[in-house]
Amino acid sequence: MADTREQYENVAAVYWPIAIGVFVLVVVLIVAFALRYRSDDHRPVEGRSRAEGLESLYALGLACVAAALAYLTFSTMAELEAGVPGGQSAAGEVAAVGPPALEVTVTAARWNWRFDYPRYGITQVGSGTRLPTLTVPTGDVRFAVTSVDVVHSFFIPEERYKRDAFPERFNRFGLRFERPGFRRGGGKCAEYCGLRHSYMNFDLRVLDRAAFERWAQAQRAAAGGAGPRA
Amino acid sequence: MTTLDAPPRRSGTLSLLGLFGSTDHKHIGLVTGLTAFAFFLLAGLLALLMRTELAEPGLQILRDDTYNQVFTMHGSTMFYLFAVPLALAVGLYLVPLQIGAAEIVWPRLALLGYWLFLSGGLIMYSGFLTADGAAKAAWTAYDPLSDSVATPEAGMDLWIIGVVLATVATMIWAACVLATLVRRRAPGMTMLRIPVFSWGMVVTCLLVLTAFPALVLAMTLLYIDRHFGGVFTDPGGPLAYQHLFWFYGHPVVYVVFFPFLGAALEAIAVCSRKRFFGYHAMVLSLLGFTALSMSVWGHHMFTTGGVANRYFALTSTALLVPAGIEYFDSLATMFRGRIVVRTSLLFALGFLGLFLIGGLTGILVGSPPLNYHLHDTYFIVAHFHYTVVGGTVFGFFAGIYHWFPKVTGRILGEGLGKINWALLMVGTLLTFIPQFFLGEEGMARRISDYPAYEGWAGLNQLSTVGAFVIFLGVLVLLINVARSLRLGRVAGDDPWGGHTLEWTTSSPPPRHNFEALPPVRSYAPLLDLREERERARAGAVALGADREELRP
Amino acid sequence: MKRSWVVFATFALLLGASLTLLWGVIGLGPIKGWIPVATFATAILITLVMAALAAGGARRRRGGEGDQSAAPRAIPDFSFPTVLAGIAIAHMALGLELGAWLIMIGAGALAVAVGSVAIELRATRRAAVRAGGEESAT
Repeated sequence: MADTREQYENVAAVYWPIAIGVFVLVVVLIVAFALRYRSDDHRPVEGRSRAEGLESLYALGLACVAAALAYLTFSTMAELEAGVPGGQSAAGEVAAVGPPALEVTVTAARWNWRFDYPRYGITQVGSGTRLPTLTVPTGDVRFAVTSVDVVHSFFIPEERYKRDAFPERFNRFGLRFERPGFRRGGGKCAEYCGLRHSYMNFDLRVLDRAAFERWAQAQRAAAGGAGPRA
Repeated sequence: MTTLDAPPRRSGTLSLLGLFGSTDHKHIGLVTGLTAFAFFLLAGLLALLMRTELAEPGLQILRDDTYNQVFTMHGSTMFYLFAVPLALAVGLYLVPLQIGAAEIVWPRLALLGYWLFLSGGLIMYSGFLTADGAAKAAWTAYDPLSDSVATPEAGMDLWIIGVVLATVATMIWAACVLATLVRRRAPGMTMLRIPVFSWGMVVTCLLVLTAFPALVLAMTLLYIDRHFGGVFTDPGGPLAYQHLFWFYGHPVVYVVFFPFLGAALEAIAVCSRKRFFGYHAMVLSLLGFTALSMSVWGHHMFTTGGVANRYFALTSTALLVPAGIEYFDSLATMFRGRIVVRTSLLFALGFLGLFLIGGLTGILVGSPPLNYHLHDTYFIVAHFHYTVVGGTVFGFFAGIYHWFPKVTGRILGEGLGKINWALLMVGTLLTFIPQFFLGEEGMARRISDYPAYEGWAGLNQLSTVGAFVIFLGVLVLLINVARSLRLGRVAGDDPWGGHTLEWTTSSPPPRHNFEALPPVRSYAPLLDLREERERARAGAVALGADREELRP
Repeated sequence: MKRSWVVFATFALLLGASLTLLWGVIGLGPIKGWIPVATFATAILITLVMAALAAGGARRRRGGEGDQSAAPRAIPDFSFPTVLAGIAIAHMALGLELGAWLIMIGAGALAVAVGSVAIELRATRRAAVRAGGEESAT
């Protein structure tokens, strides 16, 4: 399973310098030309107004840049999709590799979140007065996101990732969490969903594996010790 | 050669009523453009409301529900009632003049279009008069948010009706303009000799006629779903709606770009006193740009998990090729020109720079790994505002300063013009650059409020200040227009040394546009004539002729 | 390029290439993949229809495209029936929301408008014939 944050940084590290470089170059040329070629001479300029050879070469160069960017994007996407069942892939579903990671089912509703942990049979739900907290262990976690009403979007900015929550469908993906800690408002709803869309946030708590296991067992005990839910 | 008197009065006074019932394409174009601009001002006020609310955490002036109506109507007005009608309006006015036609094809249809557009806009806004307010499902009206369960209010239905009317009007105009381009070109004017602006209109009309039906279909299905159910109700329904909507929704941003790209390029060529460089390359790249623009719509849906992300990432990235050609041609037109820095040129150059920010960030978010983070955040808001403000607005303002003399017979003031430009440049940068950072930090879009602990207040305040600077800039334009209509320098036929046919006729042009047409041998017929005269004069001088004899 | 239908044909070709890439090479997408094909195909069809119209029109006109007859086409300076038609259609659309009564009123107004436009067209044609041009009526 790939680290979404790392993949984002890798791709951004190539795209941003190119974007800024191109922008600076073009602006410099615009300003330079506008200043350098000012003239009070009213006569029109006769000269070349076409250069098919040069433009073709230039277009080819642009196409190479586009191809390179596309290659970088595609290879990053392949890494992101490897090992995630139901993840976005042109070849269809890819089977999971390695030891099974924790699964969390995320259900979005207007205007709150519910997190189910099938392995432990526990549920975390937000209330009208308190944001829900998504508690996850460090390492890889698999998510299945759905909605009960309109389209929402499960967004964790620090993971550089979001996935839409559709009614009657599950979107599956994997995230890797590194730093233990509590992030207030670490998660947001990123798809406009009506009146209280602005407030549909959730807190994020990352625990190291041992602490997470303790937390999960404590939650299970508090809930009455029922078996894992399907 | 007319002498520089006051602009010629049209035979008989044209009453206000007459202006709104005229079959003259110039009147229809003008009235549509003015109505669209009025909607622009309205949508701008809505934007100021939003920016004022967002400057500080906590709700200060709007309730959540009101804010949702405001941002829905801001986006809806800007697209359905301002930018798209304006794109066709400039074509309605200028295309016949540029191709040497006396009239557009099907003028009654074009007039009908205006009244459908105006009615559609009024019906859309009538939502504010209902008990539950105007539509509030964003300009995109995603299902199921826009269905009768989530948004049962009448305002939503009125919005749908308004959108359909305004969009049908646009399609009617596109048919008229395209038919005119096909049928009414002057003798000698082949398709590869029509001006650059007119080529912009060709591809704009192609997009409207091939992509807009998808929106009409989406809206019709949405209306049926709301009242009878059963359209988008299977698990793939919401995604089906998004496919239909965005098949229109991406081309529409090119519809509002190409005419104003054309306007900016004309201003650049005329102010550089040099014919446009790379015309054939430009035509090819416009056609490629247009076909690609119809192939990228899935990049609005990368995070849905329901589209072929690779295909849309590829086509979206490929857009940089035709865009790059266009920038090359623009710069090459200026290269070794004889440039006069008028306000129209300033806006055209501002267009190039600001749109570039939008275009480059567009390539960025066209990469799914980056998109998964930046989608639906303020990064996207900043990206598309650079394309529409930098593109549509700056290109349009370049066109205003360039063609105002032709339309009104008077020249817009240069002093106020430069202040207008400076305010808009500063305002656009100040409003939207902070939003790139906000989006990167995770501020979602379409929110009425954000928590204080996020630390976003500072950047939001900067953005709000910028919005008011834009407002001042637009105010200066209005003052400039009002003043110049009365006191501006009288323009005559051709104040700038234009290259294209509209500059051979009077300002404003008579009812049937032209008394006579010069020969057309290229895409810059007036420039050809001028160069010929220069060569003849230089030749005669070389033979010893008296300069006086050569005056026309 | 003298014939404008080439523009439409080129555009249709480019769209076709795009669709082929989507359908044949990369894949339609996991859900509702037929919709991209349908929308593309419709767009290509519309473009081909426009190409046919452009080509047909050019052949019909003697002397090819760009041949403007000497007399300007006859058209009245104002057409208030057209204005009425627009307002009537808008009322019918609004009637979807406000009630059948408004649809009826709109339909009635539209009938009046269409009739008036027909009268207007006939008058225009008569005026054009009187002025001596046989093909000038719009």
